[in-house]
Amino acid sequence: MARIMGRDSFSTLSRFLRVNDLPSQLVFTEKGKKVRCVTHTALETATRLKGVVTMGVYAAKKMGEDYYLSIEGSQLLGPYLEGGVVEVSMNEAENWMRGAPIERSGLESGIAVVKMGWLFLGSGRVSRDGRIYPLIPKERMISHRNGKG
Amino acid sequence: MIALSEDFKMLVSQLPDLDLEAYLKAVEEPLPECVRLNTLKFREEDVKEFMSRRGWRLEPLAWVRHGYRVLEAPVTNLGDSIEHMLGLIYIQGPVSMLPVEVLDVRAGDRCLDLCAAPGSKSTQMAQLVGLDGVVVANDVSSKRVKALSFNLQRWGAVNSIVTLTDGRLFSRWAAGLFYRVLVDAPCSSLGVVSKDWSVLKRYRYNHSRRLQPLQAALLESGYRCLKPGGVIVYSTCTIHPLENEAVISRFLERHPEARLEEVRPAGLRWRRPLEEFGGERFSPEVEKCFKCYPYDNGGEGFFIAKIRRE
Ligand SMILES: C[S@@+](CC[C@H](N)C(=O)[O-])C[C@H]1O[C@@H](n2cnc3c(N)ncnc32)[C@H](O)[C@@H]1O
Repeated sequence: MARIMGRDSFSTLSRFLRVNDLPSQLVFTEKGKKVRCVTHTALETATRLKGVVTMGVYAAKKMGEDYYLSIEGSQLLGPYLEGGVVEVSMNEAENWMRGAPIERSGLESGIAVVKMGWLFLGSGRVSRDGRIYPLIPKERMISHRNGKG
Repeated sequence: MIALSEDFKMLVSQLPDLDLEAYLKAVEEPLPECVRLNTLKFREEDVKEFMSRRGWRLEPLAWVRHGYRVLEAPVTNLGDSIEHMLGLIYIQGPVSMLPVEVLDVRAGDRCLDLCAAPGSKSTQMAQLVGLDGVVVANDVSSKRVKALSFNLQRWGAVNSIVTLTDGRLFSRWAAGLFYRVLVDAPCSSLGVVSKDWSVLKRYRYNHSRRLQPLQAALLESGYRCLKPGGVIVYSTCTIHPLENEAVISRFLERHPEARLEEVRPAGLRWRRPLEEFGGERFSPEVEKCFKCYPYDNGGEGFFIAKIRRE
């Protein structure tokens, strides 16, 4: 059974999260290391159904002391983060989506969320060498030879 | 040359309104590339602006909100674009976007997609019901449910529930629970053969004959899941009257209280459903349904019925 997280504990997802500004319809549930995000209405409707496989979307996963955000988790929570976000260029974004790390100096190691303007691109692990390695599943990456020609 | 089975040729000879030459010419062409923009996670204007900066040229489809024909794209394979991977777009056939539009899904609705995998129409419903509504996306195949969950995830459908059950039994536990139900039924797929010509070679009359009771049972179960005043849409991507007109006509006989509503979308060519087939006369009400062949719109062939529960 997944456990519904209290609003107070949302901040464990990221210490930068402005919890009170999140849309009131959203609830987070936790099962093992995985956190899903679902609406109240969906959660309530599911209690009347059989054969439920999933509800809402997979938003975050615990990694050591931190949570990293899935692409959707970053898109849902990103606008409410007050730090820990790295802005990238279009070129960097394309490489990131191919699985390549982003070079930045002066970042604390841990988890960073990556965005280009309003578009959040998931999160990555900041290594000691200052690179951010994308934590994006293979099936969400573009191939190396995409583009025309 | 596209090979045709004897049973398909027989079907053609029974369809007075089908122009075989035009049909074969149409299915030789690939389907036009179309996408739906994600308004659940993003603002449509932002997505359009982003895509245009990256070299996309889009033209709105007249019959569906948020649907566009792709005139130009920065990639050869749309499924290998950043826009697809990040859930900004859903790649979907142009006519396949119509059933959900016909269903008239409103913000806040509780909706059921009874045969949902891989999720084109569930994701479309999810963006229309918004955060106050909910979409229950059901399918009977555990393999296809994986693709369904993946696509709902990519779409950011926090307002969705995926269930794995036989849709024929769904009304046992969910009778009267929904305002809107879609039954996009399993069918012989004779309207979408551009994707796979071998369908025409493999086609047997028995496919349609065996599918019909399943389609009827799914429609019946979906109908029972409706609240009074609610709407159900039954759709298939086939041209076989046994899976289309006959299913609806027999349903109306069993349900005199159900009201069939006219489906006449702007911007798409449609044709009158048949009045009879194989010696069976259909209810004159069936005329209100939408039917098109692949060559009518240079897209998929579809059949759509809209029924309101009084
Ligand atoms: C035409 S496809 C649905 C396409 C889907 N609506 C979309 O737009 O992506 C029909 C689906 O019906 C499912 N199906 C077949 N029998 C079923 C049953 N008894 N209950 C529920 N789903 C069933 C199949 O697994 C298949 O995924």
